[in-house]
Amino acid sequence: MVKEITVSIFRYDPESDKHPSYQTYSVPSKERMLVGDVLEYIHENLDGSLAYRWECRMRLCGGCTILINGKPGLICREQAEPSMTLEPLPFLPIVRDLVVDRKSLLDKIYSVPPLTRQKSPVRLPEPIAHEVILGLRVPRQCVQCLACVAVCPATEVLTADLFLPPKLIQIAGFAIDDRDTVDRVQESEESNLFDCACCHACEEVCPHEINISEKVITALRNKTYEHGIGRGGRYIKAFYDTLQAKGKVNASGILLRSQGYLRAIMKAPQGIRLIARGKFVSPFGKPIPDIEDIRTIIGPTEQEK
Amino acid sequence: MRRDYTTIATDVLIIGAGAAGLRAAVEAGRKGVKVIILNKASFPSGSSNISGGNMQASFGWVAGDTKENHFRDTVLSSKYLCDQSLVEILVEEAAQRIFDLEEFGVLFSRTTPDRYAQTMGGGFTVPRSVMVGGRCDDVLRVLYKTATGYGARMYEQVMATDLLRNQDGAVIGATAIDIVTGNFMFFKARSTILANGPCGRLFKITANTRSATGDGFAMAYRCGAKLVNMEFMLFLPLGFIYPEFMKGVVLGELSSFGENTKALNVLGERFMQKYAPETMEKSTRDISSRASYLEIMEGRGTPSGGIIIDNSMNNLKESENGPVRNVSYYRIIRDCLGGDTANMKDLLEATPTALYCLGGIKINKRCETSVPGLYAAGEAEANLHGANRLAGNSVIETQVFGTRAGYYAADYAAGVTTPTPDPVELINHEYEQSRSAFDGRSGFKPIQLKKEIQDIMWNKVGIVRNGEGLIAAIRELEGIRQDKMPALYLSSASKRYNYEWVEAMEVDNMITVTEIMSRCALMRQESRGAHYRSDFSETDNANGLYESMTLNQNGTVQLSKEPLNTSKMIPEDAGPDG
Repeated sequence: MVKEITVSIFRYDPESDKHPSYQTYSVPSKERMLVGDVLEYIHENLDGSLAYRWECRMRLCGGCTILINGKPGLICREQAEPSMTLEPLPFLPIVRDLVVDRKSLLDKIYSVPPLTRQKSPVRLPEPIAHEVILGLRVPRQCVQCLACVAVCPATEVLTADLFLPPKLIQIAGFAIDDRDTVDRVQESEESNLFDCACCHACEEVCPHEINISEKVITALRNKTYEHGIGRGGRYIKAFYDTLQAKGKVNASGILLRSQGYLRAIMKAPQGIRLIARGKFVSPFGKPIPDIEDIRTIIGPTEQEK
Repeated sequence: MRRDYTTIATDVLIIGAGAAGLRAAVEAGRKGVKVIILNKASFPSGSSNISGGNMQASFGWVAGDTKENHFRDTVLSSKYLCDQSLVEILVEEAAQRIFDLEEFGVLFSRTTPDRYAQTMGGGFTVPRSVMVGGRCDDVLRVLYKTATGYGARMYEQVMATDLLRNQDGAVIGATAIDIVTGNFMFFKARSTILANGPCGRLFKITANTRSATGDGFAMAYRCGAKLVNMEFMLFLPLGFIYPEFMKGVVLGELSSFGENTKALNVLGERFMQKYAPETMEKSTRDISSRASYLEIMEGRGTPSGGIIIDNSMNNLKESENGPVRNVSYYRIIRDCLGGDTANMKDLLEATPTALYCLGGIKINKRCETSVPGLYAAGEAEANLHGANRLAGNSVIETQVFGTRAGYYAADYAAGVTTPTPDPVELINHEYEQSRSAFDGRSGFKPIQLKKEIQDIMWNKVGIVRNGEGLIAAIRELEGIRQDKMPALYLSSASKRYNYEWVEAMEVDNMITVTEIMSRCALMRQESRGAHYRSDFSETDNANGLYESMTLNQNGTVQLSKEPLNTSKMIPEDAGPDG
């Protein structure tokens, strides 16, 4: 008896259908079947009206990403399962069935300015160490398949207008390039770099196995600390300085140091509520008794260095 | 009555959005003209996007690396069938185009900080190919950003259907269909560049992308441009055989695994012994492809229809990136066939696969075709490679000739001053034609005809051809055109992302190009480079040194044999194997 794959597929033509629906197909199962095989079988034998997209089969066009049992994946990469539900990527307008209009997001991603030098290279090849090139290539492996966008909780909460992992990946590609002169710190802060929750969900679905937390998020955050400017940079510096000064984390102290007195005063109602509940810790309190031990552990301050 | 269509005017229209089209867009954009790029797929796409990204150029850094050697290697590999004036341009301008790419932001691998790493390939005198880390997609993104920076605009998922000409015979743009909405469009242009060459999808097994159905060749032919050397199709020996979806995707090169790779048939024989006892598995890719194809066609393939690659004697070391040099290939093999196969501990099944069309639209040094206002670049254009192509000469071709096409097409556009009114009648005709697929109610689905064509091409116009088979193929293709194509029908009447509709238009192009390819192959009664005739298995320098020319003569394919441009190297010293 031929084993079968049961696949339930999202169907919707915005021009003629009032609501989306799901259609179930049975596809004979074979050894080594990709999701792409299942869709091609349907296209060739069962239903030529089903719309889905693929192009390169080598994970390089990024155009065939769909939700497979709720998880984003490329149909040229993911193995078929005996029972599957296939749906279009979320967040995006549906063209038809599994095909979405990616343009709005891609335009945002490609809006990141390219490598911009101060002046044209005087001499080519430009002197760059090969090891540096290897590092620079990591974020540049991203093919904008948008799988990470579909699993990112920050994108879900903030919307893709405010938080797009592939945009940060693009920025990272240039931020670590010493030849580049665009202010990538400001660019990444404007792209809400510090809203990443470091949950690693993006890495689990990335078809090119890019270490996004380390090579993108951490790399960019380090860059902002180096500059000590911007929301994130100031916050981290304040956190560190507070620990240095008092030996423990102190919310009001961090607030004062990172936002300044004026902005801190605007948070006064929150402070009063904390005082009422007995949870307010004064930013001007004494350091803990073993402060020197703490300072030994976390190292000297910038000035002391 | 004017049909419902949108007119979009531009100076330069570029059809095709791979490395050639984008490079042309950069160059034309730099000259300050308005540029529109049509992309049948969505960005990034095209053959260059999935290529290894190796590009040949002579920098003169190592002994023996001269432009003359690059020229000589290319001409010898072409078996003298290339246009030497184009090869001269290639070797002259290659290095500068690499520097351009670096200036745009591409990262080439280095040996020392100011020297590019250069790799060897079959038929090279010295290592010459620069690399972008085994992938080329970043080159496309860099070019895209550069082109859009100069104001070029890309229309994605828009398939050009035909080129239109004015009374003087000059091309004035193209009609197109927006695949997403189904809307009909007329892109009115002062000059047009065809950069949509790839046609691997004419064959059952190919490494090419879904869109590679030879649309550019068919459009050029229909509007009267000359095509040359269309019998030459390059195949690679090692493609995926399963999963079915991956059939034909490149697995790697025989030489990339190690010194002791064995290619076996189902009987366990090292079959290269029969075909190339001296070079065995290290033979050039045309010879290895041919040997594998013959083994499979003669019934000595595996049940899945492939040959077997045994790497167990290579003592390959496992590493994070796998034992093969290219990590992308490694990961694809690992995910599709398992870790042991990817680490080359298990046997690997493989099939030859269609890679690259060596023939194409005839151009001169300015990338002008034989039709005024029409230019060609990249795989669409010919004749740079003749009967066989060196690895690493195709991506650099996109850069050298893309640049030229963009430059001269922009010049031409600036010289066109008279405004062209919409040729409403022609557009209406194209409109009707494109929508005729919706009229059928029963008969054949486009995918059925596509598969029939691909089977015919693979079996009869594939890696090994013979007169009888070619005649049969021409007859069968004609049968499809006459009897089956009028009986096409689509499953859905929707015009939104209806890929069957796209396929119906593709089938039309495929029939045109396959007929040309089969007829050219039938005319060439010899074996040379990628073209192998079992009934004429020898290279015939007395009769074979010609460029085969195809021209549309009122709807019928007219063939002729044209003299070769052998301005620098004469074929006298060409042995039977070049």
